[in-house]
Amino acid sequence: MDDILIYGVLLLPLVFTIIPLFTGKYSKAVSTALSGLFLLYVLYIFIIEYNRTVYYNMFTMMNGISFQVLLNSLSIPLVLLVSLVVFIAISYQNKSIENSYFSYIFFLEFSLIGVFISYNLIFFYIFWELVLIPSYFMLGRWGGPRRDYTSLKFLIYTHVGSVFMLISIFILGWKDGFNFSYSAAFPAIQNIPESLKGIVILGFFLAFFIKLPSFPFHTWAPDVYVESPTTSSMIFSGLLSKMGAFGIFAIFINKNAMGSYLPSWMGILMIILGLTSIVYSALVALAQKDLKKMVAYASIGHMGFITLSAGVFVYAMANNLTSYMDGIKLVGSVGSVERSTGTRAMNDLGGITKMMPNLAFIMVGGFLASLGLPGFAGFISEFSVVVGTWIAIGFWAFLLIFGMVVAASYHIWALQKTLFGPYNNYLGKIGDMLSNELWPLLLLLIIAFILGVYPYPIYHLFYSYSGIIMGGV
Amino acid sequence: MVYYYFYMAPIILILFAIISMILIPFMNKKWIMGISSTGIFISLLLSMYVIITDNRSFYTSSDFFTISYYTYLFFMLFSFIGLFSSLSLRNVKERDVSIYYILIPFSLMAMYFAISSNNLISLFVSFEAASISTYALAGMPKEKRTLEASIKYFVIGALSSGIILLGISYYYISTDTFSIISVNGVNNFSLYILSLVLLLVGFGFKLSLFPFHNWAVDTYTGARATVSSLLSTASKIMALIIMINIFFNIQYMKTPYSSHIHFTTNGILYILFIIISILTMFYGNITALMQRDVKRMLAYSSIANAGYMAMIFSLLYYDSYKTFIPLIYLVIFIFSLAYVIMKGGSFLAMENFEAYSKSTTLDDLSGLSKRSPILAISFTVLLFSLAGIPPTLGFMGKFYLFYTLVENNFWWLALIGVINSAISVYYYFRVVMYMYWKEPRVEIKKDTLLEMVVLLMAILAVIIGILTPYIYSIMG
Repeated sequence: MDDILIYGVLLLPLVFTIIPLFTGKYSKAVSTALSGLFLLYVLYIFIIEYNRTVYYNMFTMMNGISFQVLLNSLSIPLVLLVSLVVFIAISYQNKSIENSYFSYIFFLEFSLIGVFISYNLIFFYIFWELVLIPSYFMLGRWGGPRRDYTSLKFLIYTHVGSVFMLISIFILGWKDGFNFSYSAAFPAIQNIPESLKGIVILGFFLAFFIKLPSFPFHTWAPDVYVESPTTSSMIFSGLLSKMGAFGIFAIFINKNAMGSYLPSWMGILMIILGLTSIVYSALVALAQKDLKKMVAYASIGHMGFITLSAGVFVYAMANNLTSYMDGIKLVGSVGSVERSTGTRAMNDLGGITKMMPNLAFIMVGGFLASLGLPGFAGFISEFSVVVGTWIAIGFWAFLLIFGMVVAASYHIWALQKTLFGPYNNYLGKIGDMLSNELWPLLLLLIIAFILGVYPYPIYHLFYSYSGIIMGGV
Repeated sequence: MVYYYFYMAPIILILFAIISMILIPFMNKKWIMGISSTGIFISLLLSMYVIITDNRSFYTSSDFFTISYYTYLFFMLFSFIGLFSSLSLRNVKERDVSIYYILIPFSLMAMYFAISSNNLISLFVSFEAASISTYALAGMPKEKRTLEASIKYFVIGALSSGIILLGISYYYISTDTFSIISVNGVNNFSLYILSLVLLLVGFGFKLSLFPFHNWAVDTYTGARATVSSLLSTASKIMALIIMINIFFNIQYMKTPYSSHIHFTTNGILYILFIIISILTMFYGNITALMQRDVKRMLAYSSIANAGYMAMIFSLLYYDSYKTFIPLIYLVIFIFSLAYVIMKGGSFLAMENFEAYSKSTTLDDLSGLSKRSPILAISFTVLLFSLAGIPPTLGFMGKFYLFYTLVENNFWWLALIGVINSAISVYYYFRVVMYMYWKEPRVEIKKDTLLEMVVLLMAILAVIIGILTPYIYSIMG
């Protein structure tokens, strides 16, 4: 690949950041066009670089801190996912919002792509923290009534996780002479005294599992997902949580990074956290009156699958668990489908199918995809996680099945309460989805369906990436 | 000889500016302001020139002063903030402000001599000169609030001077010398420890370390914001550099009873410094959480920052502490550069409110983004920098400080620092919240010059932040 193409992946969104500020009332159209073009650009890279690894040293700042970029079978799909979700979100957004909103979205895209492609811990950390700034503003300026509380809670929660990671990064760099490249920093763990090893692992653990969010650290997520405007919710649940997942798979359990130094109980811990997330979020979601909050807990449940798959992977070394990352793809798409429909239907419970047939179509599709119906991408990843869990922990996999059954029931129940049954005349006459809301979600649904029937393109990538995680190069 | 005069040019120039302002009678306010600002500006440029052209080869030493590359490094910071502080004095409505225009360059000059002293006598004299001129500055203009600030500052300052003098006399009794770079022997070990602890306490007042911090909040809040920007940065960094000069240069002694490291003078001092720095950080950050007055919050956060700075003294733990001096200067330079730009810039942003509405609570700042977008965005960048969000300069300052600690086995201290940095995010971002998504309550009049100054600080915080690794590798 040409170097210039890699520069483009990172720098184009940064350039896009300033454009919406100067386009006046056309900013939505311009942003949609820009993000669409960028999606095509990333798709082109995805195709020509399919299942290859590209390493490139962009520039060296000082000894040991240089901006190294790695595009591999994990990061390229994630970059594609970022550009897809940003494109969907911008298309979904209606025009009546300040222009700077689109700038924040593009800046968020820039920082997320930076997180996914950087191959140097310092730059990884810098981009990881940069994500906070646009998300803080998107949440706080355009959020719901409790935005003050929520934005500060979000910020502090995730920032606390990150700063512990910074100390871990320092301790890693300390033992190998200030070189923060992944390839140099992680082997240095073996020089670290036993007592410090725990600190290093804990720092990364907190950062990734708070961002994910996994069970004991999840409390920021429902607030944030509920209080954000729909578009921001799509991006937060679709992309911010993927940072945690990326960290877990690229660093935490990757044998080339930290994986081989993890204590064995870490696998058990991740299995416990994952199972707890799934069961707990399902039970809590069952009790929710607010549809959007229910969707938020459903999203936490999906993240539980990611934790679980990571844990199973470490503990059982189950080779057939190659598909865990597909959950990312799925939750990104399905989560946005649910979220947007969820927002609109939040207060309009009862038989709205009559008035909003298009919404009903999208919503049923999205919910079925989310509960893991065969034929959608979610089924494949959940199925493989179940198989892996069975291999790893045997009988206790029934907890997972229990969580999935509850999840299916609350999805169906919510559909029943909102879409079907007698029409709630109190609502009056309501219009259907607007076209700018319909077609992005339809596109996601189609993608989820295609990947459910023909998962090979993504699966193959994650299959080869699992080889890397197991210690290959 | 020409060589030396050239390198002394920055300080000679500032001296000429002061003398001309004092001696030439009947000058009007504009002239005084022009001379003062131009003098500081040119000496800023000259000291930058010295730093750039002369990479550590310049060094001259006498019985009283050691003037080197590092002196100019920090003098550059002082004159940088002094310049902007003196520029923004023009809003002050008072009949005769010209004396304050003289006091600022005078205090800068005294700070220069204080950080270059290698002898406790010259150190004390120049430290006092710097302090006394800032006492007067804090009381300007004549208002109840500023007078209270000034009196508090003066009384505590006098107390700390007394403590420092006592420390100096004990030092002399126990070592038979005033020099801090060559100590030949110690007569009385316990008196020697006592003298060092007294010096710590005396300069700790100036640096606003934990048990000696009380004056700082009232003074920084009560004094005019433009003066606070000078007091909370230059005068604090001066105290820090003096402490580094003293505690990393003098000879530490083992007790007669034990050879174990904890029974040496530096063994005792490093524990004291670590305890003080931890308490300072927690005190500053936790009390800042509860403030609704932004200026007061900035004052508390400057106490917290003093705690971060004091962490560097944990390196006294090592027997080879003297080899750390260049590294410490470098790390502290980057931290203080960040600190000067962001804290000075924040206080100058406060000056915008002070000048017109006399009040700087969160409510006064609410909706600032609608009234003055430039000021809002620049203040936001400065607050991000204070919170240590990359890639701003504040992150880089903390980065190198914590990195140095981890590298030298104090990872747990860095962890405490990082936890504090995480606490501080709350109160900085709350201000951003008020500025961006609350409705405006009071009108302010725009002051373009001040806005541009704050904008400049914000731009510097980002650009230097991105370039810091280059600076570090050039200087390191």
